[in-house]
Amino acid sequence: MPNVNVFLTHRPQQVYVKAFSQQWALVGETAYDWLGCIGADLTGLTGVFPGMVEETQLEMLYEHILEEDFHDRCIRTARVAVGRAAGKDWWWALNLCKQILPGWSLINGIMLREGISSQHIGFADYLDAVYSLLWERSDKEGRMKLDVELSMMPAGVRVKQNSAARKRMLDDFAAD
Amino acid sequence: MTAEKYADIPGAYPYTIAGREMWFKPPSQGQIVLFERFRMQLVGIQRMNDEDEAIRATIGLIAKALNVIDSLFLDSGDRDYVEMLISQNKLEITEITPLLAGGRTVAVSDDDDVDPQPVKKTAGKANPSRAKR
Repeated sequence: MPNVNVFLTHRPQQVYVKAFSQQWALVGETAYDWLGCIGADLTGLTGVFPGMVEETQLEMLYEHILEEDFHDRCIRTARVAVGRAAGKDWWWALNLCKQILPGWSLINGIMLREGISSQHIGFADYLDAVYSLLWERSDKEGRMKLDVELSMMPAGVRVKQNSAARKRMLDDFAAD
Repeated sequence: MTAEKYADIPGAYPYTIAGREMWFKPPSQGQIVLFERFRMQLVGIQRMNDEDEAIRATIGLIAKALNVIDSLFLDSGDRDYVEMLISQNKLEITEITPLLAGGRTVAVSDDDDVDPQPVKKTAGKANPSRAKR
């Protein structure tokens, strides 16, 4: 089947990222994999990159380990990976993970009772499920608060915006 | 005196090797995670009971560790001194591997019932730039 499926484009089953002028395959398949690796380092996301890099590529990545900006490039790559796996802005996905992980016993318990196991479902679908759960269980004010919290970028982070996104933002602003 | 010299280097810390105090920068978290991936790879190989492969992997891991540690010295004179000690078999590699964990010695064994070794950093000489914050 040709790759015209929008879900496969925006929520790929296998996540690839490009860094150090090369493509890297990440091994996470389930929400459990992604949440666990994100939870390993919520600030730098090093559990995602280099943490999830396919084992056969580790030697190639090692060649870059002494580069001055190795860590910063890992962080940027990990962010892209999280966004790609979630099919959302990386900071939105990360903010939701930050809500999920501290309350893991409760959220995991509720999800399991709903028949959703993080070990048997993709990351993007799991985030959708948790988001809808939190949204459903909030009142109007709570929903607004949730959306604001999830949309907030971490302090000190800037995102490069392309011209189309900038125009869309201006149009939205003008429409308000 | 030396502490002020490295005040601008985030996380710089003193560590004593063979009775000589030296200053190091900590490895980045990205370096630590990548190194840990190799260590886990070695653990997996060791479980397969392939002795030759395990030896090869161990040598590879030591080379990688030394390479990273080499980049953590803040004084090239200290680096040369440690290299000399190693080449003369006067220093065990295990004495410098805590540098991969920012100077902390984590555990002497994988066994859960073993107490971790005490921190071996030089006491009372933390980086003044960090102390001020």
